Amino acid sequence: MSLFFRRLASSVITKLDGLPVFYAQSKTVSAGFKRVEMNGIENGHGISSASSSSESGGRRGALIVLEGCDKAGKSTQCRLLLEALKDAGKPCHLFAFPDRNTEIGKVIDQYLKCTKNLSDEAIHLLFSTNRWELVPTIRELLLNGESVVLDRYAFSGVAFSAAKGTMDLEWCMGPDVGLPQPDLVFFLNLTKEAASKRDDFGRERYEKTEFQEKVKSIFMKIQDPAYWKVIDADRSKEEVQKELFQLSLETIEKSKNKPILKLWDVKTDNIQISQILHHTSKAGMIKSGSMNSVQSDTNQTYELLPPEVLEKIFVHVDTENILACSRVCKKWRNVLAINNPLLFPKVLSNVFRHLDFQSIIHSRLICKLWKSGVDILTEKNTLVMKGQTSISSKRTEHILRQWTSYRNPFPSRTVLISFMINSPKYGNDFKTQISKELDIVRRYGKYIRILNIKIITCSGERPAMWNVVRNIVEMLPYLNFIEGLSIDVTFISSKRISGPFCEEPAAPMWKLEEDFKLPVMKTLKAFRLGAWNFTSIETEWLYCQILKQSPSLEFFDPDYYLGYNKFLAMYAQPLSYSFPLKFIKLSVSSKVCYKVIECIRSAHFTLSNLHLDVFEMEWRKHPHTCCRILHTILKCCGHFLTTLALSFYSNTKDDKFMPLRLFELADAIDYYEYSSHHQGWTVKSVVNQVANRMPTPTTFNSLRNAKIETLKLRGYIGSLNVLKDLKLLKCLILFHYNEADQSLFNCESSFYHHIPTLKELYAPRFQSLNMNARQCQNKLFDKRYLPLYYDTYQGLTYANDTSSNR
Amino acid sequence: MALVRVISSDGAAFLVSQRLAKRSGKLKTEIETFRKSSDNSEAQPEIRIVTIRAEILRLVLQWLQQHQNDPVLPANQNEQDGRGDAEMGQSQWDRDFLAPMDLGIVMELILAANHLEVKGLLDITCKLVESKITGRTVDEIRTAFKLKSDFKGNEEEQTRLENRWCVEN
Repeated sequence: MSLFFRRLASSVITKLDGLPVFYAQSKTVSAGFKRVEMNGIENGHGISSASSSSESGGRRGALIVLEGCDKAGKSTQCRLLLEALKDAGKPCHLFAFPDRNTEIGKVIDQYLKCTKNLSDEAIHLLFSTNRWELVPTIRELLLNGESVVLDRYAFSGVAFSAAKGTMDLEWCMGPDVGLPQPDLVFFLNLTKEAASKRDDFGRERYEKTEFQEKVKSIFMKIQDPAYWKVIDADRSKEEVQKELFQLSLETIEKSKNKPILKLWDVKTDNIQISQILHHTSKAGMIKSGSMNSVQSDTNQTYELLPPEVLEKIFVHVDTENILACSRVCKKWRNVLAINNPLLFPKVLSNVFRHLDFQSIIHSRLICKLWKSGVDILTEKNTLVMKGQTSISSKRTEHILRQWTSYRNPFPSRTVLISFMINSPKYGNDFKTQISKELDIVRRYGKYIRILNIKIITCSGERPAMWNVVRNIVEMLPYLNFIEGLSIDVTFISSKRISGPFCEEPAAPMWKLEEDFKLPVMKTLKAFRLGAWNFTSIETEWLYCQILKQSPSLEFFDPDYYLGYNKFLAMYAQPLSYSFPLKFIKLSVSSKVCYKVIECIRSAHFTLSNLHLDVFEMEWRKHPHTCCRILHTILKCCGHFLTTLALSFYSNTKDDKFMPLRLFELADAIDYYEYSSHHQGWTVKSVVNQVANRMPTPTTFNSLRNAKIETLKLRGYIGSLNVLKDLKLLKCLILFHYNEADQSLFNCESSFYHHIPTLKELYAPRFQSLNMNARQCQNKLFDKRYLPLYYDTYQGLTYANDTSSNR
Repeated sequence: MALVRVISSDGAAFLVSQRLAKRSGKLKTEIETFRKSSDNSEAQPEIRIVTIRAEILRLVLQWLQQHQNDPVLPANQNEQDGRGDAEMGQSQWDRDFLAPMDLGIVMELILAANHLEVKGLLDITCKLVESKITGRTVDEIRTAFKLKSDFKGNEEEQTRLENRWCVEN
């Protein structure tokens, strides 16, 4: 048929090619196709309700079948349904199977009345033939838009024969495959008690109770929920009739535009071609014939697929299957060659999006990628490491070994390593521990590009803290391949003092220069020492050393409060080289600020990111200072700064000043950070403070105009006890998140806390807080209170960014 | 309604609306080229697709018709916004559409969709093929795809060894 169709199609086209008028073509071509359809029907295997249905406006009648065990009331219901449908104006016909009027029907009749014996197989086939006899009639009626109600159908034929046990179910279904599939089958379900009560039971051959049960079970097996509807027939016939009628009407409506499908025919079950033809006939378009299944061209081999298509396919395939694919044939192998840069970043970007850092590290794929030489960090969309914070120190070695054990280690690949070291005491224990860690890093350092090492630690003892720093510094000569170093040491003081205003030049703990000299760190690009609570000669020394010995330093965050003299001392030397510093973060008092800005202007024209923490005893006493600072910055450095973060710190408890006027000046700032900080604030006072300082809706509007991209509002909590007041904490968080316009504000709540057990203490309770704003929960708990900090990890992010730009 | 004749490799002509045809990148270009070269703006474009036979072309057009009201995705959007095709979700219609096809037809569809630049269809068909690959051994894949190994000597083994590291822990 396919061949015939094709020949026909081409002949039609050839014949019509010259005709100028579309209408004529269309008519002739559809006539041609109609012939194909008709031909198909006569042959008994082409189903093409579609074409014909489009002739009659796409409407056909529904085929409704009533099935059930004997005496369930099928015949009665059929009659009633027919009458009801006719009354409702739906043209309708009734057929009962077996149809005892045909020649074959007569034989069946004799058999059923036990006057003739036939083999089980023979009678089954006769039943089936009996149905096939009527198919053309039924089909024609349906296509003319008239519905057909059938009393019994192929389901009965199969169920009764299979229940005999001599033929298997599949065999029984065979002869009926391809009959028109009903649009709706009512199965009248009758309990056996009710059945035996009805009159006439037992008169015909099959009417035995056990046999009926068996038949019923087979019915249940062959039912197809797509069109099968079980009806409780124990009820009165009026009730049943009402339900049947209702459902029938719905079905007639629904099947209007559907094709007539073939019963139990897997291939055509779901193809709905008539619909498209229906549309096309309306639209005046021509489609080719509507064969239900397209034959594949047996000569076709799949080698024809071009590589780009293969890639598209393989993008979805996971690693292990890709390996299998690579062994299929040479072409596939070449497409899947692991250095195919087209394929794997795509795969990865999809994969990594859903993974956390740990999983990524353990992913075989990443190893594969690295091996293949695709530098993930150069791929814009595969910034794998960004935002990830740490590998737990225990796993460091394991992971590193894993990475390097593959045949081709990836010397240029990047690894981000953070140590979180928590140890209450920092004596020799600590030294051993950190030495071990760093030693591991050193050993694998030649294989891996170490992007950043982050060390976080805290102590209650000042001498211990400096021991930590010293230990780290002593390790530095071995780590001269690293590109980023971030050390956070926090000092837990039992006293409430310390902080930027409590400079206490203590006697040096080390004998500096004589004792130790820092090597040249050629690769170091980012350095951060978060030793916020201290000012000391050691730190200054360290800063100077770092600046002096790291010619390629781009990111510098001393996180350290500086007086002007110190600032000059620190910068005097480095400023004399051409210093590639791009990011600097300084904490200064407002008075020094101007000078600092001036200094930056004169030297650091490569600087693009400036973070200034400005301290003032009481801002409200100098309401214009902050504006002047901003002015100065913009005047001096505005043309090369891309990011400016200004944090205004106050050291007075009730300083409720919020430099709102800043916003009016803030046109040029992309990034503005306002933090209030005070040691020993209670949560309550933080809440109040924040509440008082939050910009009003009007301010928000002016902010929007001011093109500020990020506004950070941070609250610091310095005291442990108050954290217990979780309700207030919740207030604080919700306050931040509800009041702020999410698109504009990147609000963060930072909780500086100095108790190592914070996580254990509070995590479960935090979880149980039913926080309304879900993302605020995520934001807070994503970091899992990892160490004692929840901070922005600017050092890491920065280091990542720079390397990705390269 | 402006129409366009699309003619398959075996000569069958399909008349489709230009609006529908333009959802295929290739047909769109062809129609535009035709417009530019033709003086008569009313003339009906005729596009001969020499690589696609009628049955496959019909399936493609059928798919296009079903999806004619879907938003047109820019070519690389999926890659960019990172939501894989998997997340796009196939409609029930698509599943029904593909269900009865054997692999050969799907392959031809892929080629056709690729040629005609019908991204959505290409996506769902590729996905289908992918599902045929997943979980099969090398030999099973070869049988399913009617491919013959063209590796010589120990080349296949060598490929296996080369890639071994990424399945080992």
